[in-house]
Amino acid sequence: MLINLSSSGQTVSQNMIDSSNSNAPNIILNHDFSRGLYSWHPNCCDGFVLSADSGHSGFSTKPGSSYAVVSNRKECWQGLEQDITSRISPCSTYSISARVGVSGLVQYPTDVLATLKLEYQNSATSYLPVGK
Amino acid sequence: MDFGTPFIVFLILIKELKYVNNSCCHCRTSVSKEGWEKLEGTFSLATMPDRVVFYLEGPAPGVDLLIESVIITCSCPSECNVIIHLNLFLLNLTSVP
Repeated sequence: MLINLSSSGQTVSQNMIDSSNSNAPNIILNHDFSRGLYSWHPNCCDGFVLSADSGHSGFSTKPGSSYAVVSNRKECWQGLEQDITSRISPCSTYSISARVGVSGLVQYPTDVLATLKLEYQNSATSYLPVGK
Repeated sequence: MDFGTPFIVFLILIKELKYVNNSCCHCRTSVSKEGWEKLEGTFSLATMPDRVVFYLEGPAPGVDLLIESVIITCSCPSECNVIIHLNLFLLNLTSVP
């Protein structure tokens, strides 16, 4: 695993968030949906990928890029998930940066959350809201 | 100087801190208009679960969730935890009569 060391913790954090300047690898597979929904799974709802030129108006994206749409959601917790077990380790700090939006019969403002589902063999599954 | 007692206290505190460190604040973004919003946050796990799943959720039922990209990068190890543990260790050393 590559580690971006710096005498300034602030510099490290900024580099991690901006993927274009970062040496740290992105642990998310297919992070830009260029391979459809490969490695991603809709959680009890539907999901598909749209290309930039056939997508929603009001959502500007780079030409040739794609984005995921999670639809037919019946509950707030339903969304898109990815198993990251093999790519993380304890006692390390991870930074998340995502570009998200909402569409449909929306009552603004509305929240979008990032969550970790932690499953244990001998104890109940726990849910960890990701810190900011 | 007898390091036995403060060292045991140090180990206990580390064990307790590991449980506390598994949680953080909420990571959410409030979408107030049509268009992309940036969602940012951090997390750290003190212990390794059997399975870890990252997911995005949140809007009301019936609302479509759109995701353009997700980036998660590591800065390991957590320097803050090392500093906290070291400070606690030194604090207990100074309390030895």
